[in-house]
Amino acid sequence: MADTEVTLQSLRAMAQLAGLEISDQRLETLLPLIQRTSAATNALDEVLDLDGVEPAITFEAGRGDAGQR
Amino acid sequence: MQATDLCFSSIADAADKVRTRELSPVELVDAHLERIDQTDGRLNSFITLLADDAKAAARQAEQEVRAGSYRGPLHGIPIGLKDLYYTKGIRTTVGSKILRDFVPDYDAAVTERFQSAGAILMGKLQMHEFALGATSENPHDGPAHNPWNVDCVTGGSSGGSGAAVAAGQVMGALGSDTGGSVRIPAGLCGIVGLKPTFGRVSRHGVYPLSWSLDTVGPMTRTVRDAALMLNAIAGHDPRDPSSANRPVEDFTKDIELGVKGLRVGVPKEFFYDVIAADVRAAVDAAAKVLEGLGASVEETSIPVLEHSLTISGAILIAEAAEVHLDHLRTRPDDVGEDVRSRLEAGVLTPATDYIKAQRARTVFNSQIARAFESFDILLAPCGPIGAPRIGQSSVDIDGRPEPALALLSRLTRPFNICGVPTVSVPCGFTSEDMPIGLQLAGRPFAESTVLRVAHAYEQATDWHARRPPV
Repeated sequence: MADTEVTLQSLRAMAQLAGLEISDQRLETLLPLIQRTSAATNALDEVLDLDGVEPAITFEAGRGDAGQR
Repeated sequence: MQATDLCFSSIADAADKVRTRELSPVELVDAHLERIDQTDGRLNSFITLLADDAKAAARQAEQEVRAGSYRGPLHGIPIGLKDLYYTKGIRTTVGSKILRDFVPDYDAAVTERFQSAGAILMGKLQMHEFALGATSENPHDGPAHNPWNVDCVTGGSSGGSGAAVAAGQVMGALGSDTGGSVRIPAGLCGIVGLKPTFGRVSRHGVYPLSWSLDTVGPMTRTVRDAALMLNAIAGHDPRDPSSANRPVEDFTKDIELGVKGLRVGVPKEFFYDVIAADVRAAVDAAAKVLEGLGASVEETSIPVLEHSLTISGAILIAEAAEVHLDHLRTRPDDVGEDVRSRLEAGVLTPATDYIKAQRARTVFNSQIARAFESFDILLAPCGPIGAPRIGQSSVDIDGRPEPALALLSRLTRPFNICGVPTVSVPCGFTSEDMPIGLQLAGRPFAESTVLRVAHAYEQATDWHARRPPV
């Protein structure tokens, strides 16, 4: 399935969910940067073949202190 | 010895003299306070100067040494801390307006360690706001200025630490390194900056930027001094969940062993895609020096390096955004524009991007680990350019304009992703007489090897012996 494109509307919704008041003018300035980084991150799937790869941060139940590594 | 010469001594030399009582910590601290007085109007390295506390601590150190209670090589040595290390009863601004009056009620683990070692804290040092930037152009405190040319940036985010050490205001300092914040200012200010292995030094009491990338590292004028500082601060600390429970060695022990028989890999991807010709020439020459000293130097391929910026960027801004979410909600106008934009971009980045970057990090780490099966050291430039001017937004490389600020942290980020120990050591000067840094990275927890190679290179060259004009 194709990745969903980041739009001004989606940024507005995310800002609201995060409890941030960000003007449309600022969101418009941020939009190209976020679109670029999101597209690059999504492309990692294909260029690195992440099939079956777990994130570098994984939970270890045996760790009594934080469980996070 | 003149007071200024004293300020440019190495920690190792000064420590010998303190130990044998040829040099008093009081004399040493007074010389540095005088040097700070002479230079800080031009450099702006300090956010908080602790002159009275430093004098009192120096008197105490002097008494202890006289009484035969010499604590070791940092006893009586003037140092500085980037202003994100908690210091009990002393404000810790993190370079921000929001934390301008924050006074911690406990010390960072490294602050405690330096106190136990008898080091003298001269003050809290300038930085890029919240450590999120590579220039140390701070909107609240003004920019830190590079001692080699005060019109140029120091690099960042530990810019005050870089300038203070390079200018002889302190003998060593601590920076923190999330995407290069120790190595970038070290490279641009012509000093040594060591990013230890992730987990090697406790981050308890260090204001975070990015939990899975942050490291604590020394900045000094010689490699041996970096080893001495690392000796004082390395070790397990249960108060930091990421702290590695590994044995701590004496990092000076093998420093004289040389490089004969060591294998140095020069990754061909990424590091030379965008780079100034004079920087490239200096790094190539440095590789030849190591070869001449007996190392085998060989080009190698690590394709995943091409994705360093995407992986590092997605992880860093997402974690930093969470650290500062409350600041963005309650006081966004009190955050400098550059940092605010990055943090907002982090908040607005989908969580799935963060996880994908962490999955790519697994692949990244695996390719780096494979490279270290064949090599003891990976060699690369620290940055693609020398220090740009304060306020300069672009630089010309091969006739093409490139964004100066993005370039500064471009080449340091890969080694934060995989967390391996990496040092920046001076390796030349640009055509504009600004310092150039060489990066040497080693296997996880192989700081001794990294320092050994850096020391061999340093001893074979004289870049580290030059003094800035300020």
